[in-house]
Amino acid sequence: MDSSLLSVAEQLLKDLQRTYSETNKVPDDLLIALRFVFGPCALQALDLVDQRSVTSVSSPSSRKAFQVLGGSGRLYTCFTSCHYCPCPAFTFSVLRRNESLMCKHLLAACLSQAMGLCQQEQVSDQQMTHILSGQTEAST
Amino acid sequence: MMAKRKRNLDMRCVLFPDDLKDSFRKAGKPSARTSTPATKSWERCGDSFLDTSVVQKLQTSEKKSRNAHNVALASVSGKRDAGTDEPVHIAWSSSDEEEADNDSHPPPRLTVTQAPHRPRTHKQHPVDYYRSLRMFSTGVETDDLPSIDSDSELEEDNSASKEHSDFLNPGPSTAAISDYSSYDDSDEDPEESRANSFLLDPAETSKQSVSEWVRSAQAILRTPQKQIAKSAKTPEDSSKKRRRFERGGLAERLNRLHGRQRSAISFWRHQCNSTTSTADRPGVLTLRILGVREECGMHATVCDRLPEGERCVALFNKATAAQLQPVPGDIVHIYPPWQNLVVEGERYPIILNTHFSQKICVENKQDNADGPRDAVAVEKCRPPPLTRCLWRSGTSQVSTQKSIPCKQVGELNRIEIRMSLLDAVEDCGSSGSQSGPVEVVVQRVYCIPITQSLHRASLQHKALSKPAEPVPPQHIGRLCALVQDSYGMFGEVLLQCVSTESEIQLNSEHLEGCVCLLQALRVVQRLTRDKCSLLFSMIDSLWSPPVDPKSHDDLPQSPSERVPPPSFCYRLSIQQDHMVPLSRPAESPLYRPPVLQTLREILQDESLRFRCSFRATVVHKHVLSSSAGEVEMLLFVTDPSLQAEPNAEGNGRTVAVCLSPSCLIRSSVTQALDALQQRPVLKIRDAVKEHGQIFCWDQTVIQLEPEDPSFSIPQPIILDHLGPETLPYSLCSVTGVIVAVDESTAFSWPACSRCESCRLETRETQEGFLCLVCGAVMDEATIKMQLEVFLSCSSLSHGTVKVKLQQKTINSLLNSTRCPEGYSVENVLGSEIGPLCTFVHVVNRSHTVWMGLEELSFDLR
Repeated sequence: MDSSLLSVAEQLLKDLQRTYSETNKVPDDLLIALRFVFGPCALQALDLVDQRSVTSVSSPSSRKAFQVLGGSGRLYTCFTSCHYCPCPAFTFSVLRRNESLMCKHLLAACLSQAMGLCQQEQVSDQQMTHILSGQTEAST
Repeated sequence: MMAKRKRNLDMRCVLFPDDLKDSFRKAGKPSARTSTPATKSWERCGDSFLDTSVVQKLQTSEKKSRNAHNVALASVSGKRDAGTDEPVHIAWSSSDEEEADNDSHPPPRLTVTQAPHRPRTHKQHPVDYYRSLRMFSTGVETDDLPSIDSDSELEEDNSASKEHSDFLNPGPSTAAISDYSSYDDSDEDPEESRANSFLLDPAETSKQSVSEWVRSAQAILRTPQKQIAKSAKTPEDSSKKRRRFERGGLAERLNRLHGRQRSAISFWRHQCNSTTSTADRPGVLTLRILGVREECGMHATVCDRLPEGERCVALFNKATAAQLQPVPGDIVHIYPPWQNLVVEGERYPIILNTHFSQKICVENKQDNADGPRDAVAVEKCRPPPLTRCLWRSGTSQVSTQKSIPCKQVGELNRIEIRMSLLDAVEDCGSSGSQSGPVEVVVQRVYCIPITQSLHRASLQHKALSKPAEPVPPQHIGRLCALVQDSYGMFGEVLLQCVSTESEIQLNSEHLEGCVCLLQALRVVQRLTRDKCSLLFSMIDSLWSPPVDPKSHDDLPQSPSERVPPPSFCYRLSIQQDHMVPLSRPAESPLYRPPVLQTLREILQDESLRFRCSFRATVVHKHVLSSSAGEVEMLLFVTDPSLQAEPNAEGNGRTVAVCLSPSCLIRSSVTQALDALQQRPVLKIRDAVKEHGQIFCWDQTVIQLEPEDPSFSIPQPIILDHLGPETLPYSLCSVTGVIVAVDESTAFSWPACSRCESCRLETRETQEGFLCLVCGAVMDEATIKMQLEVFLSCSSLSHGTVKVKLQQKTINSLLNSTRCPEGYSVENVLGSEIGPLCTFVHVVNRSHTVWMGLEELSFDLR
């Protein structure tokens, strides 16, 4: 049987995007729902969003990726085409133990994208190659 | 009552019964009580007390003596004025984060003095209460950034500490809890709050709550019976970091909300266990569980909602599920605030925020005892695939409803009529989803023959168009509309296929010039000027708009400013009936109807390429090619302006109009073209004049005009005279003297007098013929002849003109030169013939001019 939790998460993100684009605010109950569905990483993800830690990186070849500055200062690259984060928390809670839907970096990236709070960065194709091939680059 | 959100330093600390009393009296005023050093340290301690993540740090080491605080506690015998504040010794390590694994000393105990003495025993607490509290603490454990900083010195204003003081402060916090059940202050339902708070009046509150407070405090300070496994903590780099959240940020707000929620949950749990709660209150969900499965740490239960019986899926987080142990057949009450979420693509609504759940067992499987139950084996769901990501967040059309009591908050679809095609196209996105509605003006309606449209429409759209009948009627064409929005942007909308011409006529009349609403449109293609020059010639003819187009920047556009026509537009498709006229035809100020011009004006216009509309009489048609049902022909037309005398130099008397197969010709027009002797008048809209030639292409509409006496051309039609500049595929009149006869092509043959067939049989018995086709019997058959002659024309001095003559001319020619012996070439030579109306087939200018003509038979009625 397939999990429907992801659809719930997707719906919440859609609602968030809509509400935020209309009112520029996130209502309390939506925050609570995010915490309920995404678990403890929701708080940290929101903190990352508050600090605008998510950067949407794009290159002239129109490839895109998300880079999230984690709490420790490390930069994690999340790809737009799949649900994955290189951080240990993702490996552990999501992949190994299937305990949560995503890690805080992924969630921060999803939230930032839904609310339009990503920083934008243009990089050259060569830099994008580095990023996409998994070599994290410290951005500005 | 105390202010709920006030961050009064006094209020945030733990209050002793005396202080409680004080606080109720002096609402919010800074209390005048003196803070002894003991109470002060307790204040500070109390905050970190409730840092459940620090519960595990209760072990003391040699630091115990260093960090011991003396805490004064009130006696809890219920006497509110009990002044015996016996200090209780608590060995506490508050500010460091190390855990001492081996403690040489017994863990600290909080001693509660029931009587004014100082025992050091600790009481047994209800295990389940403590366990449930621990469950919440495990939740906190996995937080990387604990919401409460154990270093309370930093957190002067830490709202979390406020929450935990709320926790320890049952009286006012019951207000907080009840406040929590509805997020709006104004919505606080006193009934609800009472129900939730389960305590009656402040006096009672303080009395009972103190005992509870003590119990809860005991529970918290008790040594954890098992270590929280270190391995349960996710290995993240940032776990060591503790920082404050951004002020005013989302994290801070969630932190606050969640802290409140946790307090409320733990209180509620406790209350559930100690008292029985009444079920039938507004906002309480009663669910019967049908099935349980585990998804990513959450338990998803498919339930029937009683008493209505609707299905829903309730999600329980780990903690709730462990406490609830939902099994199929159970009946569960879920108290507000829960949330109801309708998810696109899911069959049942999802219930979230189900923290306040309680099971009412139906089956007596076993006592709902305090002892831990074996976890029921629950089917685990496959984890969602990594390929499914949440990046794409399109526009949501679903409403979300919350369970705020006595208030339904629903977000409805906002149906907004757009004025901009570009916006609607952007809404469609790259996924080809539908968008709309958009308000546009229909500038033109035309029909594309069906063989063309098959290539045009994308396969995707074809699959989506309505398959109406099992046997589709023969479609003759596809209706298209050229629309324009108020910003000046164009779009070609592919409408439905039509099978009758009346449909075409009807739709054209109804739609053209109207303001229409496009609903549920899909983007087929983006068209650019260089790829679709024909369409853009149409767009250019409609530019600039009669009313200044709006600017997306909301800047006023000065009329003198020449805005260039757009260089791109979109091809859209729409289902039948989704294009709704909002106004009457030709009512919109943006509509630019085609302007009829005379042929003379059109010929004199020297623009390279432009669209023109005119009325003209067709005098001759010449089929250029006819293959697979697609006919390309030349129509020779004229109008009064060209026929007028005197003729300005350079004007032809007739114009050739090329009808391409991509222009749908209605059957009425085809019939008229087959009966050219009636001199049909056609109205041609939006033909293209290019390089001096008029073409009817895709967007051209040809209509048969009724007889109009004002639009009359003289009889016989005046044609250009044959001359050196005569071009092939033109009409001209010829006068000349026969100088030679092409004997190789001179024939005569008998034909039936009735049907003109040449299949005749001689009658055996008599003279005469029998026609095999129509059965007519005739004595004399009609003689048909073919004759081609060479002419010498005065207008063409050095050139040869060969004319294939019509029957009539041949007859008159030969009759005039008849002699008894039959026809002789010599008799014909030297005869003058003309003026003849001829069609120029060939013009050869290699050496001298050589022209091949064919006489036409139209000038005589």
